[in-house]
Amino acid sequence: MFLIYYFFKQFKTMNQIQNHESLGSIKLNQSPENSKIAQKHIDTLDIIGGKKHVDKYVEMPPFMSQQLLLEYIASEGNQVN
Amino acid sequence: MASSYRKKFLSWVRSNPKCSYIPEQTRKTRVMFDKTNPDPAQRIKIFHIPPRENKKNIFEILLENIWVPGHKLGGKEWTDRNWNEHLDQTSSIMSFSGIFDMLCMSPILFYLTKGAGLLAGPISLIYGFLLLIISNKAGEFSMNRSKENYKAANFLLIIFFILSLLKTVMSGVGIDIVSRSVEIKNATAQKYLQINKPLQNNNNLIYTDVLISANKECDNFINKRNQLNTSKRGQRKLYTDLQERMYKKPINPISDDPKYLLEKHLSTLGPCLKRDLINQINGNKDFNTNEALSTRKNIIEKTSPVTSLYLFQRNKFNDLFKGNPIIGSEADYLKYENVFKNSPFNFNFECNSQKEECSKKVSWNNSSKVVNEAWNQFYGRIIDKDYENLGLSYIGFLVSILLSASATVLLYASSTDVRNRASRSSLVKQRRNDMLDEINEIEEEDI
Repeated sequence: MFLIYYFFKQFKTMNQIQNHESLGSIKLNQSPENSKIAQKHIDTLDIIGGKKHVDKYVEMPPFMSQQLLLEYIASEGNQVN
Repeated sequence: MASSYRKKFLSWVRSNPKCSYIPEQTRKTRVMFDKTNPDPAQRIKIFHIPPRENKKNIFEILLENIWVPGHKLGGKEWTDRNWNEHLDQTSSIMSFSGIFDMLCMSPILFYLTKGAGLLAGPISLIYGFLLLIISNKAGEFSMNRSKENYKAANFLLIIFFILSLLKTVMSGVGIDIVSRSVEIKNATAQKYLQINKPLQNNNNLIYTDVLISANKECDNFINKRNQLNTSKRGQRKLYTDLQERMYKKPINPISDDPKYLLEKHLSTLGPCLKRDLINQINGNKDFNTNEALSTRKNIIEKTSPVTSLYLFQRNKFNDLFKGNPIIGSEADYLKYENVFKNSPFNFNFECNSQKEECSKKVSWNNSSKVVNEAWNQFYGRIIDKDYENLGLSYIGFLVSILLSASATVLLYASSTDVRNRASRSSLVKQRRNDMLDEINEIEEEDI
C-alpha cells in the first residue's frame, strides 16, 4: 500500500496559475516599457503574417506592385531590344 | 529606404480588409511574460500563434469551379487592385456565360438522358456541371500565355470557344423545348398528318390547277395557324386574322353559288374557301367518302394536329406520343363514328392504352425525337426568317451568343495583357522575394 501511495504522491497536479498572456493584453495593460516590447513583437508578427499572405493569396501593397510592374516592363523592353 | 518599405508594408497589412485576420491573430498570440527579467529582449517569449482555419470544404471547391473567382485567372507572382478588378470582370462574364448556357441546355440533356428513368434528372445535372467545369477550366488555363505555353494557351482558348459555341447552339433549342412545348408537339404531328394525306382522285375535275395551288396555300395557312398559341393575347389576334384570310369572301356578292363565286370573284376568295368551293363542285358520287373527307378536313382544321393524329393515325401517334389529347371530350367525337364507318379513313377516338395513360396529358414517347424535332423547328424558323414566331428562345439564343463572344474576347484580351505576363514571370517572383527579404533584414536589426 505504501509503495502505491508514494508512487502516486510523486505526481503533482498542474500549476493553474500561468504566466501565459496574450500580446494584445500585455500591450494594453502593462507598463510603457513592456508595452513597447510587446508592440515590437506585434510588428514582427504582423510582418511575418503579411509576407505569408503575399505568398499565399498573391496580394501585395501598391508600392510593391507598381515597382515590380515597372521593372518587369523595363526588362521586357530590354529583351525585345 | 528599407525602413520606409517596412512602415508601408505594416500599414498595408493593418489597413487591408483582406489581411484583417493577421493583426487579430497577432493580438491573440500567447506569450510567456517574465516581468522580472532584467533583459528586455527576454521578457516576452512567443510560444503559440493561433492557427487560421482556412481549409476549403468540397462545396467551396465545387463552387469555385462553377463561379470562378478572378484571382484564379491570374498568375501567382504579381497582382494589383486594377488587375484584380479586371480579372473579376472577366471571370464573372465567363462564369455567367457558362451557367446561362448550362441552364438553357438542361432540358436537352434531360431528354437525352431520359432513358435512365428516375436518374435522368441527376445524370443530366452531372453532365451539365461537367460541361460547365470543363469549359471554365479551359478558359482558366488559356490565361497562362507564357512563352513556353503560348500554343497550349491558344489551343485551350479555341477549346473554350468551341465548347461555348456548342452550348450556345443548344441553348435556343433548350429554351424552345420548355417555352414552346405544345407548339413543337403540334408541328411534329402536323408533319406526319400532311405526309399521310390520302390522295384525291383527280379525274374529271375542274379548276385542277387552282385547286392544287389553293390546297397548298390553305395548308400553309393551317400550318401557321396551328403553331399559334391561342392562350396568348397577341397570338389570338393573329389567329383570327389568319382565319379571315383563309376564308375571305367578296363583299356583297350577287349570288352565293360556288360556280358564280369561282368565275367572278376567283382572285378575291380566300384559299381555303376556294378549295372548299371547288371540292363542292367536284363533289364525288360516293357521298359517304365525300362526306367523310370533308368531315375529316373539318376536324383537322378545328382540332390541334396532335388530336387529329390521335383520331386518324393512332399508330403514328403512339410512335411519337403517349397520353390522351381528348380527355373528357370523347363523347364529342361519338357523332362522327357513323360518318367514318364505311369510309377509307381510320377514325378512332377511344383510348385503348392502359387506364393510367388515358387520364394523362399528351407527352413525348420518344425522348430523342423531342430534341431532333425541336432542333429542326428552331433552326428551320431561323432559316425561313419566321419572325412572327420569335419568342423567348431567340432572346436566350442571342444572349448566349453575346455572352460567349464577350467571354472569349475578354479572356484573349486579358491573357495578352502585360500584367498577366508579369503575374506569371519568374523574374518578378525573384524580385518580389528580394523586396520581402529587405523588410526582413530591417526587422531583425530592430529587435
